[in-house]
Amino acid sequence: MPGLNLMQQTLTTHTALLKQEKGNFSDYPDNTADAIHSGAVQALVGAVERMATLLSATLGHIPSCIISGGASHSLHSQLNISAEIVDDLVLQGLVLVAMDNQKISTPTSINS
Amino acid sequence: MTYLMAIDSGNTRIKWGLHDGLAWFKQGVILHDNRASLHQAWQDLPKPMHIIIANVAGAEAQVMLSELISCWKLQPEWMTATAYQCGVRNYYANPTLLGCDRWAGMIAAWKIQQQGCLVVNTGTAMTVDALSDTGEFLGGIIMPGLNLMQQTLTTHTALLKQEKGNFSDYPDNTADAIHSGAMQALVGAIERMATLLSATLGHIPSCIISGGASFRTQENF
Repeated sequence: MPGLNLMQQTLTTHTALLKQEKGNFSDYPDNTADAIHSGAVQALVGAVERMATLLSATLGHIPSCIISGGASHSLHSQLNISAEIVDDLVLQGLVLVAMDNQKISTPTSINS
Repeated sequence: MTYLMAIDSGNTRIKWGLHDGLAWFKQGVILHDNRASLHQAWQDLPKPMHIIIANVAGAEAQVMLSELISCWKLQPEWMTATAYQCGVRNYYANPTLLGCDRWAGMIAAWKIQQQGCLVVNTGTAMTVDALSDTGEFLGGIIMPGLNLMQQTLTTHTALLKQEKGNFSDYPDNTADAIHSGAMQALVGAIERMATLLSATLGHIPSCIISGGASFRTQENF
């Protein structure tokens, strides 16, 4: 799905009246800028929560959730499931793939 | 019989209905691009006493609509949101800045429900608005609708292409992943607002869905 910024941007380019303004998160927004920002957050967090519920049913236990990317912190504060932010998740994956392909022994942790 | 013409001019489509005071005499839907054909659809209708229009499609659409209805020689009412109407109170920081289509939807929902509820409209954009048990508009959220949510990905990313996808719990191809992502986002946002409003009201609110994507969204609750 579109990310936090794209979700907001696309509304202003594809509707006649909505304008691009900086909004803040609110449970019950009472102005358009906050309504657009909060809508994007609710949509993204809602999708993550629905996938967590689905995976819970599939696995038979609550899955852990790792979040990465620019909007991690905005979403994390609204999530009703426990989740861990790992900012450099893709970089960590790249290191693992390179080591595997170069036959370098994998370290037990690549966090530090 | 006195007739009232109601026109909902959205971002993509124009929905209209001629009401006789008790029931709809005739209704229609047309894409903005085909609005010239409204001239034909309306020419055999009985003349309305009054015309009310909710236009969120901008000034150009307003000019086109004015021309289309000029045959009836009536000054239309261009509806705007107000601080209070038909039992619903609007606490928007500036009441007139609330989308007039959202306001009309909430007024109709309050007439139907007479208690706290969620009012969802899924068009070009999707709005989820919360009404209290005493008819106060608590606030609401706006996000891209089902089509826009998918379209914007293909225009703003280098690799994703526009293909028709289907809903799946665990999509295993990109087209299904984009379609299912849009659906999960919209349904997820509605469910989160329902949870929030439940806590605020102290009871589970009913939810009214309207707009082009309503049936597809409802299947996934």
